[in-house]
Amino acid sequence: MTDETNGTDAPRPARADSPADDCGHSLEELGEYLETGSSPYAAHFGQCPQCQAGLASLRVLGDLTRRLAEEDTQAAAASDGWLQDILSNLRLETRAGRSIPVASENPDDGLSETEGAVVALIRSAGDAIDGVTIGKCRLHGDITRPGAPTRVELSVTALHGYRLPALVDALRTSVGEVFGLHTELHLDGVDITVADIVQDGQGTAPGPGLEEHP
Amino acid sequence: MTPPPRDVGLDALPDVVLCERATDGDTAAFEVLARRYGPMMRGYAMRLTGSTADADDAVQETLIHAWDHLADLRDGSVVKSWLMRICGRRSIDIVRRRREHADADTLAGVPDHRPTPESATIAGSGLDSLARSLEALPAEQRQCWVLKEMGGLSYEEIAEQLRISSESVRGRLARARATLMKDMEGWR
Amino acid sequence: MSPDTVGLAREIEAAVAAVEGVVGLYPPHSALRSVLSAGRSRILATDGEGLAGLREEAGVLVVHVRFAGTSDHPGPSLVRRVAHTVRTTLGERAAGAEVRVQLCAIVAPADLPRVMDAADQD
Repeated sequence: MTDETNGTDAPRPARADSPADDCGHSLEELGEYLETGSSPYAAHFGQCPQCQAGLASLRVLGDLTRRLAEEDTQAAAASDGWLQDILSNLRLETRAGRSIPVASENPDDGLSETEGAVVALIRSAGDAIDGVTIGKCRLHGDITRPGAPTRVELSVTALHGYRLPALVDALRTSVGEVFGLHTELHLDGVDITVADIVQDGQGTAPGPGLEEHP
Repeated sequence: MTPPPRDVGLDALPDVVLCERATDGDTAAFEVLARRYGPMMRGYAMRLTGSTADADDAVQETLIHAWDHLADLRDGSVVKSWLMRICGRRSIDIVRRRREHADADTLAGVPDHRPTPESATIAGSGLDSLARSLEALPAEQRQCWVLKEMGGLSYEEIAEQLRISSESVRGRLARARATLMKDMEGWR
Repeated sequence: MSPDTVGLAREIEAAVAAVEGVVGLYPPHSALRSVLSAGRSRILATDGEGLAGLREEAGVLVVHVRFAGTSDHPGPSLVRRVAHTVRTTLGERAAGAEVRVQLCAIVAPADLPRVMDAADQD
């Protein structure tokens, strides 16, 4: 094993001329062996005391580096004032998306709602139903035209123990009401995918990938 | 007050669902993601920049960029590595900007000795010594080491982020490794 | 904007903010970023520049208003009421004016205190 403290950015010279008391393998070679689990010199590493010691030290250094990263993360999580500051700027952000026309009494008016406002509203209406948490929520159709036929696409995470058909019905009804009340688009249908079923609001169970269409 | 509905809480949702909601404009879902990975990003950025103020800037820039570009992320399950990658890039950019403003004489190869505040709290078991050794490394070597060992980037990815050749990355990593190994013998 | 127009813009802001179901105004031209604040006055955004955009284009007065409303008021009729309020406030200048009104967020009344609290922290 050789020390590379004096190395430069230039490619290092071949190691054929390593001193006799040195087995000629670099920390870099050992490091790559540790990382990939394979090396043309694997057999040598297995029986060279110098390389064994080098590997052991590299492992300790790797472990320490990982633990340092974990400590850094924990320290940052323990005092999250810094994150609060950052998030307070983002919290009330909205996405506009497309512009949904609203009919007007005056021909000189240009009245509209943002797609983002309608999507957020549908999402919170869905979330309000017991056992359902909305994932994706998209509007399909040329919603920038008055009264455009529109489909709502939803993917949902359901809580285990709820009857899926009842959930889907309740969701479709609620979305239909909100959509009818707050837009002047024509609702063609609500396409609901139950993407996942979760136990107790904690960990994730394998999703059944059920597709439900009206 | 009605009792809270029995639902899957946002905190329990997997990254994929949080990404979908955040892409649709749900700031609460984005906030859960930010809390989930913000501390990891901040630690990473702190090691890369050597300063908490720069680290906070890097994380803030990362989150704003992420919010604006979430729709480009096709697979929400890789959001963690996506965020770490953006954060690494932003951290390097911040260091570069700072250096471009600094006197040309104080450039490459000079270790910046400003310790990160958190390092004082990482007591015992070699961690504090490693933290000190890392901070004493020339910034160019430390960045390579942190990008590789904490960020999990390949030589090619590091080369691209630092705008240097893969061979230079190899050389800097070798020197960082050798120094850290030598230091480690002292404190073990 | 002339002092005259600034005064008119302030009047429109106040009138729109007083419409039942309106909970906030957004700056008319900037991106929708970091704009909600100051909950007490029911005008959520006060970012220096006015919240109602007024400008003249080839002799035509154009008014821009972007706002947040509560979900207990149907969105489209709320938008129309805001447009009507703008026209009323414009008075004789309403003739030939273009009024652009956009509903940018629909907030459940129950969520309002949370929004206000978050805004108050700034």
